[in-house]
Amino acid sequence: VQRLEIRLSLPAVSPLLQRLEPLAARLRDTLANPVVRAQDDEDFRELWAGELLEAQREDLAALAGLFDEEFHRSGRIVIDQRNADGVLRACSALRLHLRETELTFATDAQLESGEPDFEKMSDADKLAYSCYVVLATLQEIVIENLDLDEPYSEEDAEDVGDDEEFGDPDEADEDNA
Amino acid sequence: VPETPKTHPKDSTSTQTLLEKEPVWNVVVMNDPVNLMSYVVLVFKRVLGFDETRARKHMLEVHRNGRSVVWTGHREEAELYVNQLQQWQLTALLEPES
Repeated sequence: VQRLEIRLSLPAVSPLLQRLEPLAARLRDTLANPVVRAQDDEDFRELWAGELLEAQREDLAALAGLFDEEFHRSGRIVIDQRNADGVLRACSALRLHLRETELTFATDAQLESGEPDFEKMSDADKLAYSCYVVLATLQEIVIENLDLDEPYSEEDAEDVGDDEEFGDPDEADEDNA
Repeated sequence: VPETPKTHPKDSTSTQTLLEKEPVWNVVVMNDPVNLMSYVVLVFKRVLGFDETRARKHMLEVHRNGRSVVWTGHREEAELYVNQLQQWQLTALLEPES
């Protein structure tokens, strides 16, 4: 499948989007997954982080682009090879940031098993956890259903699937594992 | 007629030693409790060109051992992979091969 149309429940999703909005705003200036490069000088670290931050902003814009006028009219979002990578990465960025800032009440094991202690969670915690789960579900739907084996390029807009944007590292790589 | 210069055995050995000592770097992916297994598999396929089996093997190594060396080679290329993996929000780092 090269194009996914998903219809979401507006009353269910709108509060989640409102909850995610300030997080997404913070991630325009903050890396979701801070980079540790102690061996490099400060200038290089800043340059490296700046590139990652710019890429993160583009990913967040791809995710925000799903919730356009059409979504607010019908609840429908469309994901294809043009925006799938950005959407997937933005979901990860938001989940990492949620875990770091909002889901501190849960242990890693609870989050990995999907079984936090609901009885101890406030309404705000439950909303944050719902965002965390919905973003993961969106990722799973995209990964399971979209043909993502080949990265998208503009040149292949009419013939998606024949491009090889990246080189094959295995050719230069014996068996690195 | 001047004699054809002969390679000095000592020079030859020095060159070979230099080549052998060219530093090799590992691209390491660390475990995190957030990113989905299926997502990590996809990233390994997309960024590193792994097939499904190899991507799953490294994902499970990350999950079980906390880390996996996913690529080894020259620093410049290794840096590129680390950057791409970080863009995909994985915790990736570069370390010299011991």
